[in-house]
Amino acid sequence: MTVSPAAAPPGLSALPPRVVEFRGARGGQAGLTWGQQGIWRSTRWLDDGDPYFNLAWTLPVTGAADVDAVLRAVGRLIERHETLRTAFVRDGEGGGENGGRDTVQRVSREGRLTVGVYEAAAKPMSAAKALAAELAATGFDYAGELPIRCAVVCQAGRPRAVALALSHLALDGWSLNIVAAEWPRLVAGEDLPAPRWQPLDQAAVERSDPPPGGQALRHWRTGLASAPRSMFDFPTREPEEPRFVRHGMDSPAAAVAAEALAARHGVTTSSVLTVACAALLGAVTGHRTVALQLIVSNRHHPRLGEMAGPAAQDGLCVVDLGDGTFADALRHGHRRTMATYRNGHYDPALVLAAWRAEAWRRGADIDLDAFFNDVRHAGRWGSLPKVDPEDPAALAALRGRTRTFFVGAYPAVKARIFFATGPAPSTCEFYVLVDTAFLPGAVAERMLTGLEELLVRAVSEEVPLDHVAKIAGLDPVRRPEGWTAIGRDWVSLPETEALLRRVCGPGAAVVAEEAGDAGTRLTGYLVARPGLDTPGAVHGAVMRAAAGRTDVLAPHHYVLCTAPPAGAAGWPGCPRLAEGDGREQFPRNEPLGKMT
Amino acid sequence: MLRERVAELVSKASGGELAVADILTADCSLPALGLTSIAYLRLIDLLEAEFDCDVDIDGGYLDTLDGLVEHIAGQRK
Repeated sequence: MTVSPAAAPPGLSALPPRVVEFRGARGGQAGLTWGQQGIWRSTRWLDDGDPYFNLAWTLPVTGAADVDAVLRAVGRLIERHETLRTAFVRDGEGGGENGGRDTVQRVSREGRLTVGVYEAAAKPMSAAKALAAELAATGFDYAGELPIRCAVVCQAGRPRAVALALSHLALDGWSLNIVAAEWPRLVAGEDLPAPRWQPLDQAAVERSDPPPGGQALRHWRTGLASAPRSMFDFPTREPEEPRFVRHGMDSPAAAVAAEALAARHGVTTSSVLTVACAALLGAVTGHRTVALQLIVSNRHHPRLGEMAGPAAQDGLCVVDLGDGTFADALRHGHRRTMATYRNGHYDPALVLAAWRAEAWRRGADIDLDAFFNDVRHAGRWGSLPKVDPEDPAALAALRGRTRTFFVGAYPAVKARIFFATGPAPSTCEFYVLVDTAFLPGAVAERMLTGLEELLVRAVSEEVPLDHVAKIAGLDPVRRPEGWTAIGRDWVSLPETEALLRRVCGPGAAVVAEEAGDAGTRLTGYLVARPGLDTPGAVHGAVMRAAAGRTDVLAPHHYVLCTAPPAGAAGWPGCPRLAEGDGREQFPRNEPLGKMT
Repeated sequence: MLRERVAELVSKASGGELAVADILTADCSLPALGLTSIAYLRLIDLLEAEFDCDVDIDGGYLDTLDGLVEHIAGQRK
């Protein structure tokens, strides 16, 4: 496995590249770990060669190390961490679309890495950053290429920095910290003890009998049953070009306010940010129950804490905001976020099966494309400005330092909204990405300023949840006539009826009826015909036609009649051939929607 | 004894950042003392392993040392 270095960017002159040969303690092959499967699935969402998930990174070289010493350190690093010599290879049928279960991780015991060497005229760290970005601008060939590209940047012949591009399949943020801690010691020639846990070891544990993750699976099942089927159950709009828009904010005031709220209510700042995002999203979308997927690092497990390699998985967090204040929601939401972080290690295939089963039962795809990721080191800020949050004037003055900025726009992202912190220790560095097919791009920026406003206000006054949209300057989405709330879900009855007619014939009808404690229930009336002669067959056809939609809901009950009535109002009196909910037989092997 | 042992485990979960003496004398919640989310999760794993109990994370007693001690004592009866 080898790779060629990139051409020299401006300000750098290329010296002859070098080759690092490495030989690790072992090689081997195994199925993907659950954490690898998570990243793998995300990469499959993009076109081959898309560099979106590449990590550009630089490491300084201090002391008197020469190029040979730096290259030796690079070699030791690759030898130590099997994830840096792992390829992801198709193993069997399936086209790579089933979450990585037809793909294996293959660890090469030995190999070679071509490393570029450059001389910088000035500012070697800046030059290395530019070089790293260039190295990361091309997607990795996961099957045929090492997941690391590397170049050494020198000044006056002495190495000053190493520019790296890394595949996210090999390393995540936590792993980068592991490598960063080892790097100066490796450059100094220190002999470090071998890592105790590698992805091959993790894969073996995850395939043990019984496998871990039972409690997490139960957490997912409960969450799936209580989550809205989508936070985006409202009319779509003409998307902007490119479709996904990301804005950022740098607000020390939001961080100081979040810390004050966390201390006052006995929760973590991570929970404060999560619940604030849930409140903003709920205010815009008209939901009191909000479902977010939290990126769970899973590093509290001791062995995963030591492993270089991806370990994060998505955790389901369903927060019932309630009818009270933001402070009330914080206390409840904190427990939900902690439960989510505790239940983030699971077999993705089992969760996917539970997800599909719940969709079949509910009568709609369960769209959970709202995410929150807290990437701060140890989940906190380390060096915030010393400002008394109880002093309104001081907090107001601090807000003078807030700035918001446009980050970028992208054609394809597997999210409808994505909240994320940045790693900055001295400010609330925060990002919001929105899918403009649902919300205007400007909402991303308003959510950021709204987040700050909500947190700062909540320090000095009780904020009723009803006031969040107004305080944040956000316009709640409008649902035209014909949309109705059914349980936690908003449904377009005209679109649902149109869907049933398309599937079952032009005369079919959907009737919404109050059914006591069960709330509003939908009954679908239709004339039976070959292939659509049982409630189960009709439900399957409706679910297939509704895949990916967030505006329709399959009827809770189907009534199959022998002939149509004279008028639409006559359906309930028609002679019935069969009726039922159609949910008895879940088609296990049939993909019903876009849920991966 | 139980209170001291739980305080030791809180300290261990924090990676030694929180001192046992400070945990025992704190008049604020554990997050206010500086226990992070990840340390919390480590703590729950440690408590379950040591006391062979189930810590229900939704229980609402996780905020303070005494709440945790009370919960564990209740589970051991």
